[in-house]
Amino acid sequence: MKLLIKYLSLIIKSRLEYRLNFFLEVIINIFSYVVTYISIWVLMNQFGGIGGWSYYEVMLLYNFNLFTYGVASQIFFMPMKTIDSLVKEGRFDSMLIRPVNPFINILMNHAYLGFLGHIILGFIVFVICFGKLEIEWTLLRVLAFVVLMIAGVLIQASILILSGALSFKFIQASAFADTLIYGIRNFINYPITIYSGWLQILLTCLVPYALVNFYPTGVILGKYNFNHSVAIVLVCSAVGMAVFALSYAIFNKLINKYQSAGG
Amino acid sequence: MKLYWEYMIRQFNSGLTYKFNYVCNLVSKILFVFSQYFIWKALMEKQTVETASGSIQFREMITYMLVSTFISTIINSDVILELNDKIKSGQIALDIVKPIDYKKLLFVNTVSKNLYNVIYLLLPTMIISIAIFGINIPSLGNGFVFIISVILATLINYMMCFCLGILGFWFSQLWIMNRLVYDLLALFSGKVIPLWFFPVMLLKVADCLPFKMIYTVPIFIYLEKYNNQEIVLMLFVQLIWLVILFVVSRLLWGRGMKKIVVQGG
Repeated sequence: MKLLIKYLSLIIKSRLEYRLNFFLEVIINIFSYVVTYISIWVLMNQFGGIGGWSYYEVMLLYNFNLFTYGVASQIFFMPMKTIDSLVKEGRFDSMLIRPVNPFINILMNHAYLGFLGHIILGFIVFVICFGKLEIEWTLLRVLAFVVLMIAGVLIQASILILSGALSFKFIQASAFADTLIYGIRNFINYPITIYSGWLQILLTCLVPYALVNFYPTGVILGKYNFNHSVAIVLVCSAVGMAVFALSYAIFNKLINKYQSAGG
Repeated sequence: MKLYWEYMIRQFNSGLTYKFNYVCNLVSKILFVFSQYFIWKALMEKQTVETASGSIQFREMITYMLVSTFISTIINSDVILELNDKIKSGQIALDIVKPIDYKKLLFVNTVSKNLYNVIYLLLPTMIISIAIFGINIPSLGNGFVFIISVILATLINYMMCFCLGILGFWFSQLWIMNRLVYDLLALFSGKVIPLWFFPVMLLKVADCLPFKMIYTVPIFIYLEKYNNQEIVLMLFVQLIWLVILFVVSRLLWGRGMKKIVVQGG
């Protein structure tokens, strides 16, 4: 454990070596999403809302996704993306012969801090939205918010881990991951009630993206009654933990089957 | 010329090597069009929207979205990142000494990639979307002018990317520039949100930038939103932007070449 902390601090120091680079990455990430928020504003300004949701409600909805994605990606995005090239070049083998869990090892080795921008912007937008929407912060609601946030991060992380795990099996797994992450994620930028029934079911059950932002935002905004809200919080946290455990299990299973390209 | 042709065919064929990759990209593209369709459907509940530039029909909006998808596939260019990689790794030195004009080779590369994208990705996507959603067809004259305008838009976009790519001779972190331009283009070109929905303030910004020439102008011609005088004017403005960017790219390329000589010496 001590070793891990030492290791991590060294990695972070080495990343901060190129300070300008790091700041530029953070700033450009913030800029990208500010542009996205502006375009949502343009639409909401013209049409006055979508599917019964106002601008700040949609903004909150989008932000749930952005923030949980930022937190999950801060830890998992780069390491999982790098597996692809590590496997191709046969460099992954060195991870397996070290006396550390390869999963932890790869997370540490390829830690990347550029997603700080997502997190900072996400935090700011949360503050703005909560102020504008005048949400009443009872203890239960705070608790629900924290739990839903953790569940969201777990779901986002599972998808990233799964995409990394697939790299052991398929050479061109990155396209699949991109489809899963970006192609389908497009759908949760707006309330999923605007889609046809089968798409809503797909987003809730098959790829549980709707549990990341749609249902949680509804709970925080008080769109559901008390019993439903409790049920949603429970389901989200259960699904979050389940998919995380599942993706970790798949990761380990595929690592065991891994055959080096160099062998 | 034959050499470039040969190169193009090779590039074109290499795209289908990874079948799984291809299927994923196709699914992505179709999913994207579907998500857009549903969003517009939800926004335009009343089927018509009154804006400062006249009333907009829902079907017109869907046509806009499909034509925009078409343009984004055609104009797509990785030339910034490609140049950046070559400059960073120093491989550009090898490319320049080859007995072939490297600038033209880069262009042919982009064209062949896009040809592949149009045939294998865009065509299936369009057939499915048009069959489900329907599309407005322009008059023959407008259709013809539209094609000219798209070609100009493609060249403008390419030249813009090429200029930025050459800046890699001076800045090593070019991908940041790439992102910046991409984000601004996504908003101010009218790629996703038509300019007719913009508030006046943002519209003024869009009018000053060249991005509008890439999406809004061809799509408006397609949708017959311009009268004949405006069409001629807009084509002329497109041409001017193209000439400006072309001259700038030549100047930058010349400077960049000198810079390489210095580094090698």
